[in-house]
Amino acid sequence: MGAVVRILAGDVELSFDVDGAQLVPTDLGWAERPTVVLLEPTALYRDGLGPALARVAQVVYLDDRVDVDDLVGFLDALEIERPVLVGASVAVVFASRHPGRAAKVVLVGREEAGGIGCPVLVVSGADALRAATDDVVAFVLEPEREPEP
Amino acid sequence: MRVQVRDVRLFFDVDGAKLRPAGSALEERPTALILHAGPGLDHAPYKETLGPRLVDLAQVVYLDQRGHGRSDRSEPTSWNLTTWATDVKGFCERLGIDRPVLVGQGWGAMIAVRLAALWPELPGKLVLAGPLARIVPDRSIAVYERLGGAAAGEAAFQFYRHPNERTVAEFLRVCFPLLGRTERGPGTLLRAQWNFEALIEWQLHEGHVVDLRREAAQVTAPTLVLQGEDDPQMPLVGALELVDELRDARLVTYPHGRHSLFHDEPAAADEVREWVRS
Repeated sequence: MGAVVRILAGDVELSFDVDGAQLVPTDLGWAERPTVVLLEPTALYRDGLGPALARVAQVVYLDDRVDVDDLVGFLDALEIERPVLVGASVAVVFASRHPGRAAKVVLVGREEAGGIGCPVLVVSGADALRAATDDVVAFVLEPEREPEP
Repeated sequence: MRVQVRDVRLFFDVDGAKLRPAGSALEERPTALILHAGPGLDHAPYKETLGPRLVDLAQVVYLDQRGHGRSDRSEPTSWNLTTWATDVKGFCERLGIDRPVLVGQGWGAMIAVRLAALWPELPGKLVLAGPLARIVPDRSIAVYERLGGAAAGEAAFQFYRHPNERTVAEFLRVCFPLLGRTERGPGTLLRAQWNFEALIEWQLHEGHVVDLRREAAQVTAPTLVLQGEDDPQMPLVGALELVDELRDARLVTYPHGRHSLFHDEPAAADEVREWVRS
């Protein structure tokens, strides 16, 4: 898959795609929806989870493999402030190293992810993720709890 | 989301993925980049009107121009068509948006023409809704008077003659409701982040002198022109002047259509759909 939309994040050029608006009209104003960043391999999400999430959130498919620094550069370049990250270990490392920067993490394929400073939903693998679409949508929509003092 | 383009951060929003599953492969869809009306308005109205009508066919990108909406304000000295057009080019380059369908309305259509004349290869196609080559106040004043009576004609006359906060306020009170022929809910007005300074500044300076007739002949992209026959802001005669210069234009007019074409005329969005799809 070639570059669809791309951006220079730091020194690397990353391909991404977006589905679902960030701001949607309400009766008199706007609702700002959460941003969900689906980390590579994004083809996993195109026909199931992605479209389901795009009904309630702005979905960003980050098509290239990234490390934590790339991910920081990508989020900074697009001013994505508190995304929900869906992916493997890079999502967990990002959340640990940058407390408060990720709103939530959906961790695909690892069972231990406690103590990273944000809510985590663990899904055991790609097949389980497909089966858990409703759970992931509910997790994204769950109101964020105030941090405990 | 916002992205750095030249000396400003520009706000944009996106609906509809560029890639959609088609059987076992992914199919690439066209990009429709909407250039909002103005000056002084932002992308908000298109979220209710045109955008949702295109999203099953294309990736729809909404952009707030500099000085508008959620983008950086920049300096009034940079508020001109060439800067705005160059920003759009920079935005497309920054994000790798290749040969978009540029959809411009009113003043946004003027930006689209400037851009397509300077860089003919950039747009794949153009849609110009209620465009003008130049602003001739007497033409607009006459239509405002025909639609809204002497008070509307006078408010338009004062606005074009002395654009300032007082005349803009009166223009909005008396003339703005004439831009559409169906009622708009309060949300439509409240959602937009207005910058009346941009309207006044542009009208005082470039609005007086801009004339796109010669450069329209440089545009090579196939162009769909949608025009309300009762548009007081961008009167039909002015749109025809522009169409005369375009090399490859299809003109569709709406007998009772005004400036808010996408709000009032569902058929206008149907035309855009066909144009994007063809």
